Amino acid sequence: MKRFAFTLHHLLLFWSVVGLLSVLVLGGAGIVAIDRLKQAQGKLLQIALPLETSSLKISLLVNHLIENQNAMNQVRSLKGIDATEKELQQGKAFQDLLETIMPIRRHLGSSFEQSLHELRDSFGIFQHQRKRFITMIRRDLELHERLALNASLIDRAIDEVSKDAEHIRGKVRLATVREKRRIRNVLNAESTEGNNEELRRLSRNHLLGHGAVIWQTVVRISSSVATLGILTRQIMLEESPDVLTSILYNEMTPLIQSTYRTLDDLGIQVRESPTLTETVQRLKRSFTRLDSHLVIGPDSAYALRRARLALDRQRIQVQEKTSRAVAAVTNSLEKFSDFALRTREESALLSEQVAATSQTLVFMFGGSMAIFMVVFGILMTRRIIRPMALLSHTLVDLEKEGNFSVQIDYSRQDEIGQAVGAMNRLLGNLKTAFSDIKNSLDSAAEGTFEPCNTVVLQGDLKIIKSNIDRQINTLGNIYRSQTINNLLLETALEPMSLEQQLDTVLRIIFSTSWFSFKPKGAIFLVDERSGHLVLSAHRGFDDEHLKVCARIRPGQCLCGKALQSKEMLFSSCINDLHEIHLENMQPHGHYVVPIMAREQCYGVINLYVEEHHVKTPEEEALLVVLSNTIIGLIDRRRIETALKHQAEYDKLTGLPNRALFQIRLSQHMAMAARSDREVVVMFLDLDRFKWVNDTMGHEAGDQLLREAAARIQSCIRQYDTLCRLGGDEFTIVLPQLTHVYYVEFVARRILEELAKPFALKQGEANISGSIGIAIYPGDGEDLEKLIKNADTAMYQAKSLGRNTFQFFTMEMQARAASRLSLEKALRQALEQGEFELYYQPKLNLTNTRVTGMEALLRWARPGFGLVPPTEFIPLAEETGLIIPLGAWVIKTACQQNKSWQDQGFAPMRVAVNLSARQFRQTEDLFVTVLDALNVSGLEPEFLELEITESMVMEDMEKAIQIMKELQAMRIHISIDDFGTGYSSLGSLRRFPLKSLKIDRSFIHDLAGNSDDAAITRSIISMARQLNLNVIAEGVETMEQWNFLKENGCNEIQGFFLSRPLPVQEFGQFLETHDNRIPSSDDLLQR
Amino acid sequence: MQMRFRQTVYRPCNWLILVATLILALIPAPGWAGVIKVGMSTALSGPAMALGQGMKLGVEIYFAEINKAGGVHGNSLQLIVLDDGYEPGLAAPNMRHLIDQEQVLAVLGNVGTPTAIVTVPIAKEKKTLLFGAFSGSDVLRHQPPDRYVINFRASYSEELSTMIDGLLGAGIKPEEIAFFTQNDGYGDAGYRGGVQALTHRGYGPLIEQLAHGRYTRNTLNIEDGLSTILEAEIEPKAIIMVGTYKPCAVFIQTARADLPDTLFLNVSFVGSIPLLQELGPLGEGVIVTQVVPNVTSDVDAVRHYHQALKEYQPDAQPGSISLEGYLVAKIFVEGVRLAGENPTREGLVDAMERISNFDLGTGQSVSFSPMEHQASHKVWPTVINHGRYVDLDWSTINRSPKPSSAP
Repeated sequence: MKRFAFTLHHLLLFWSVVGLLSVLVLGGAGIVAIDRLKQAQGKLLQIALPLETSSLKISLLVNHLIENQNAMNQVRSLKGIDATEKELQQGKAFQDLLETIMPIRRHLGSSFEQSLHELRDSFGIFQHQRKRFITMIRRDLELHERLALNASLIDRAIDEVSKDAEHIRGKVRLATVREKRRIRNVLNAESTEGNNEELRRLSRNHLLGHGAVIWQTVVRISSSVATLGILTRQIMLEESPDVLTSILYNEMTPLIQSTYRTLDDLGIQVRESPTLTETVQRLKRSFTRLDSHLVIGPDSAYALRRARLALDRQRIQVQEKTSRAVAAVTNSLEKFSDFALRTREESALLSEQVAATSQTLVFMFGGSMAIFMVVFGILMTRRIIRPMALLSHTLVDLEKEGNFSVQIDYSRQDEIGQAVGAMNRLLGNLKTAFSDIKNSLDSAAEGTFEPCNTVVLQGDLKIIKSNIDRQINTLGNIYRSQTINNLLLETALEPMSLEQQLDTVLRIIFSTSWFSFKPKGAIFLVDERSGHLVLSAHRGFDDEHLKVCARIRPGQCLCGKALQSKEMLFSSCINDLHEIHLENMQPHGHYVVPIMAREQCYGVINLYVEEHHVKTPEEEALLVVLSNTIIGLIDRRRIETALKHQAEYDKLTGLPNRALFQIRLSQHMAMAARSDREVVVMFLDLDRFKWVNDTMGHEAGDQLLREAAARIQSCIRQYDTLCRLGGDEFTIVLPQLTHVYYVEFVARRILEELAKPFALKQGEANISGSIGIAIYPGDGEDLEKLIKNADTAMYQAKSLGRNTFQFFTMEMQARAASRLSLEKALRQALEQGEFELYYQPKLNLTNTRVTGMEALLRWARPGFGLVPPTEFIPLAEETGLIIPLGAWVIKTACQQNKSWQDQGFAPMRVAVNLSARQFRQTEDLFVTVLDALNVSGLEPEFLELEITESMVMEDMEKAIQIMKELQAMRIHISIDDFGTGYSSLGSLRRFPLKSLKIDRSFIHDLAGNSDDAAITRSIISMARQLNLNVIAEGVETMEQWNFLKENGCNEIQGFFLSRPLPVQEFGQFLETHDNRIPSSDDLLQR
Repeated sequence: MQMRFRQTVYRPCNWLILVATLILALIPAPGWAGVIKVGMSTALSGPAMALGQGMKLGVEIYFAEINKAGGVHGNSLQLIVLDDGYEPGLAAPNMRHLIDQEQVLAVLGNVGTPTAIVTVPIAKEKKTLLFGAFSGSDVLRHQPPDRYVINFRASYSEELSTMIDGLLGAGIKPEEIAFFTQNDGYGDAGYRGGVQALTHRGYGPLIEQLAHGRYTRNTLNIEDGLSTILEAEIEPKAIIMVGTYKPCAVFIQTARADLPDTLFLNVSFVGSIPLLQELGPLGEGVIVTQVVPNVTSDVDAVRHYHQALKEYQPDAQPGSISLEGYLVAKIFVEGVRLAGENPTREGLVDAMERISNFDLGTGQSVSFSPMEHQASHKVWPTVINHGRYVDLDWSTINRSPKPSSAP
């Protein structure tokens, strides 16, 4: 069977058609059924129901009329009659009802017509009778009213009569009582004439006697009237006319007559009293009125009563007839109702049948509809609900687990299939998009901040993607800014100098790849004194640039303008702001950022950018951060420095304080320990300082301290540290001593200075000093011991009388003492001519001639013999005696050499050792040399000055200059003790030299030590390559001689040749040695 | 389908009708406001006509005052008055007519005790409130009180008690007191009040000795009664009179001749102003107890009464009877107000019984409850002095000026 794709659309269409058809069919069947039902109902409605309704209505009407009839019996007033008469209108209603029935009587047959006619007739009779009845009632009521009126009139009349009678009675009684009272009063009172008269008058009162009579008459009248009242009542109630007549004539009339007579009598009785007469007249009139209401006329009680009785009889008759009519009506009505009922039942039955048929039909079709619906439902389930369920499950799972890799499996190509396909694609896209986003975010976590590069769909995801990219970007920027910031902040913490830190800052800036600065920039700091910008750190500046930008005035160029305006300047191209133009400058732009803190500018950062660089907020933000960091650095430095200074320096004098002193001393001690040197500590106390403070005031004392400090400072070297411990105590640390007796020298100088008077504001002050000296490590290997010993030495000095210095160790002290004496002797020696020069010959190995000699100083101290140079030369150096001594040596050597030349010997060079001091005091040296040459007349070529390697290396440049000068004078320069100094071979070629003397230490072990041999060989070879004369010192054996000769050494000097000889002996040596190679025997003999 | 429906509903014509209806409903058209009908059966003619006229006047001016101010909850008050001439025979049908035909909400201000004897049962039967009857009789004051009978004025017993207390307090002995009463329920009620008062004070046994003269209602036949009193063993020093103004006036005029030194005391029902007018100069020293404040007293209610009288009946003279009618109407209106917008007969009674601490404006506050159906228990004794009623000071009665008596 061919399966073409049943889409849901088809399915629904199919079922719609099916449904529609069913509806139509059902509808048709329904219509047919309804039609038939309608017919049945029609019959029911048109015939049976109207009939029944009419009959009901008629019944009601008739019942109503009958009730009305009964009601009429109750009616008591004419008004009521009028109302009820209106009911007669109902007759018309009856006619109308009958009219409605007329149309349908055709359907109902002749028996119906007959009963209808019957009903109509009997109703007519009924109406007629009713009318008569009503008339009767009316008349009755009229009569009743008249009777009521009559009764009330009678009552009133009786009432009046009673009241009048009462009045009379009352008056009579009152009069009587009054009389009685008067009589009593009179009787009670005294019997006087007046009273008697009164009594007589009273007895004549008519009224008194008659009072009783009147009273009785009145009473009789009252009773008559009462009786009449009773009789009237009787009349009202009497049923028999005959009895009525009897009452009237037998009882009422005579009584009335007699009452008239009595009234007349009363009139007579009261004639004496006018008021009473009037009352009696009124009484009579009242009675007459009463009489009129009782018997006379048609409105009298009697007449009315008779009429009433007649009427009653008539009414009974009428009532009977009416009842009969009522019965007839009721009967025909019943028949009529029956008929109506039967008709209705028939119709109802018919309707039922039709309804049943319809019901069956409906069930049938309903059933078939239900079956169709079920089938439809099943199909719906399969085609729609199941796939929907699948879809919904999948989506719910997706929501719960969030696994976008899921794909829905649905093969059909209907609407659902399309939806599923779209969903699958969407899921795929989402998966991709999310994974890309995740990657991007991960990159953010790692710090690489890559945007998500997914090629994605439209709409929300696109928006999300661009949002995420933006955010990643921003985060990246923030991260990078933070990184830089952190780096910058780290530099602040490192213990570098400020300039180094600034340099690091620049380096960090240029290391950021994402800012497009050129790798060129500088940081300027403001010099506090001048207010100018000083270049403190730079990158990428060439020399010229450095020169030009080394110092910038405020307002000069971009940087100066930034300094002035205190605002960040950005210039994207060279323009007017940029005053300084250098050659070869490529087009560029600048960021110039002033480093601001508290409204003050501390410097400027200048960064280079590409010419058309557009400034970005990120860059500006970074620069602000930079500026702040640098401020931080500057501030920090300053604070650190200030704190450090505060912690370490004495405020008053500016000298290091105790803390720094200890630090420095420890440092020096450590360094000394490493290089096996000594450190000297001096403790100095100002004597009599307290006295000055007390007498001249603290201000004077302070001034004195400052002055003393300055004086002491002037006595020491720059390596030495003067500290103020506090009060008047000072310490001096002297490291790197070459000679210990420098210490004494210094100490003595200090004491001399302190002894000089101090000119203070408050006057002149004289103090002295006491110094204690301790030497590390001899006088203490740790800080405390050393200090304590120095302190002890100081106190010793004080106790010895002040103004003196004292070493801690006695030995030192002794040595100091001996040195002192030696120094004194040395001073005198020159004057006393105790010095003598010895000469040691140098032999040229090529021609075995004595080509030169070295002059060596000897001192013949009286009482001590020959003092070795090692003992007095250093002292001479320290004390400066070496200068005049050295000058004497040079002079004497030149003179002697000249003398030998004059004596005819072959010209030789005389070598003189220069001391470091001599070498340093350059001008004196030149003067001395020139002077010596001049005075002696010796040619400069024959003077050789030996300079040690270490002397040269001290200040190489200066040494070279000096050597050059000397060489210019044609004096022979040689390096002494070569190999033991620190010169580099490279620098060797810079020295203007003639000769090189190999140190004796290399020569000493030539035979044994192959290293020394190698070195010597190489020195010789090198020197020869450099065209330098090589001299070997300390040659003592034949082997050495031979070795040197073999290796091309130029000259030798040593004991093997000769020891240093005094002048005379040297002369002899020359004579015997002239042009002769000394034999080994000769040599042994010497 | 939807379109058509909307069209039907939203046609402009329909909107117009709706709006019109709303407007009409909101306009307080007077014709649309309710009318509350109130009935009164009273003596507009006959010897007691001043009483009936007075009560009618008082109620009418108060109703006019209220209606002018917008009525009660927007309803206006209408008083329907029928004349019974102080005859029970006419009072009963009047009552039925007012209740059944006129469908009044309540009946107020009926005059008289004999009339009350027939109208109270009708009120009870018809479950309609009879309020503020101008009578102090105990037929209106059953214990416990009838639900449909509420009174304003103090009872005759209370009036009589005041009189007896005053007389005894002034030094008059109980055996010197005589009674002159109307020969019907009214007179009986008054006499019973007196008996009660004397019995309370321990003079029960004495009562039989006290002279009691009577006269027939709606007549001036006082002579018989006077005779009875004159025949008393002990000449009375004070005669307590329970009657209407005309017979009482005739009695006083006649009796002055025989009893020149005797005090004449009347209950409020006598009608103080008409009595004064009838007596003329012979009225000096005659005592009348009142159940309302003096019309000259300066309290809020009396002031308003005078204002209302001036505004709505400028020709009428102020008097205690119309003042009583005014006060009765005032309390009645308060009850109607409490009964809500559509008061029913039952609702009105309930509302009346809820009245609590209502300021009457006379210094009295009125509170009703199921056990308390009388507004005021206060009696003001007054005396005719120089042709005017003034408050009575009992201590002066023995010394009050007497007119010259003419035989």
